[in-house]
Amino acid sequence: MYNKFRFGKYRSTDSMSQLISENYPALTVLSRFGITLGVGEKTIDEVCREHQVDTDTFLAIIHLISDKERKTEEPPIYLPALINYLRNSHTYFLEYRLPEIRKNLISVLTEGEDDLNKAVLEYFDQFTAAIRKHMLYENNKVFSMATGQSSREKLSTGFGKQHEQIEARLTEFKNILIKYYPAHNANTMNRFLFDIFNCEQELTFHNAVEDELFLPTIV
Amino acid sequence: MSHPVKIVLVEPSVILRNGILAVLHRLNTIQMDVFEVTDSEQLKNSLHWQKPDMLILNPSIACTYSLLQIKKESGNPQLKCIALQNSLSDNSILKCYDEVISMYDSIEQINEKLTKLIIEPEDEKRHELLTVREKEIIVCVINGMTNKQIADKLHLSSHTIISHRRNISSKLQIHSTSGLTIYAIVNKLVELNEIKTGEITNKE
Repeated sequence: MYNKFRFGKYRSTDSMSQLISENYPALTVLSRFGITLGVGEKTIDEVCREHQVDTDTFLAIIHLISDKERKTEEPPIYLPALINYLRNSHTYFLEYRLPEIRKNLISVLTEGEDDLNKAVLEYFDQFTAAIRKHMLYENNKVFSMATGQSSREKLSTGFGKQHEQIEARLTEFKNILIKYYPAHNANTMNRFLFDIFNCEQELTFHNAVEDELFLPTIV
Repeated sequence: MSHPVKIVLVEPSVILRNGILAVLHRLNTIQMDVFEVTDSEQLKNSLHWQKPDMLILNPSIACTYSLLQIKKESGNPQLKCIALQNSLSDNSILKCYDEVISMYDSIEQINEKLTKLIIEPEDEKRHELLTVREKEIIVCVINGMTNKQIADKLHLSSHTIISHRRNISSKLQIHSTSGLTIYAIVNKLVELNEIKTGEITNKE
């Protein structure tokens, strides 16, 4: 996952701005919770309260992002807050991140390689369709089942495996471009690949939140 | 191997060093250039200048930590490290090496150990290339044929097709049909319009 930026855990009384500057991937967590910048000198807890975000859930995700193991004695996660976070994260990937990557992909494709470009775009579109199907299934089925008492057991099976498959497909796409795509403009292609590397990490992290925080909370 | 294997021999004792050199010179089945190094400082320089394929070193010069360091600094992930065991050594240290040569090994044993390490990387390289049969199967797969249909067309069993497909996946690290399509186009196994019209012509 993301690099370790700091030893030890953050406390709710630590400053939010310090958290962000030490641990910049935290920015994505803030935006998923609808927390806007302009946090001033406020503590993590103050900022969370201001935006009606459950502080413990927020910190649990921050700690996961910075690779800190969650121990059982930690405060419980507030499920509605976590589900809200995950829904927003889905929206981010489906409505913003993946369409943006597709747009960039079109712009880096090499002219005159029509057949190849068609196949590359098709690959990406199939990948996007698979992610969309999976995330919409979570939005429409999994989250509502999780808040109901019955049928929770069904959820845990096959959940993690789907995540691995999705991550593997993005990795495969990246490797295919690296190994086979005849890019003429190295700079734009590099920028695109950096973007994919980044998205890969974001996806891994998103899936880790579901596998390591969401799943243990509901079963 | 077409070019001689570059071996750096790291051993402070001049007697042992010359003994090993004499043995290596008698291994006439292996083409090699051997460089002598007596301490870790020289070794560091030698990694940069000689860029060896193989190190034969006294484990007391490299503890476990620095063995990893050595591999890293050499910039050659294929670098083979062989421990030259001349005293009792901790097994956990020797485990980090690709091979261990003992003072009491016979020439045949040493020859066998070196040959095994030298042959390996060439074998791996060959594995990455697809066979003509595998290319044929890729073209069939991206044309949407089932394993059964491919088997009938090529007069093979479905079982064989499955094992070919498994080999293709592991060689290319591509597991999806759309990924194979990209591979096939780049490597000119097929044109996209052929896939659409269903005309299968393998250009290889």
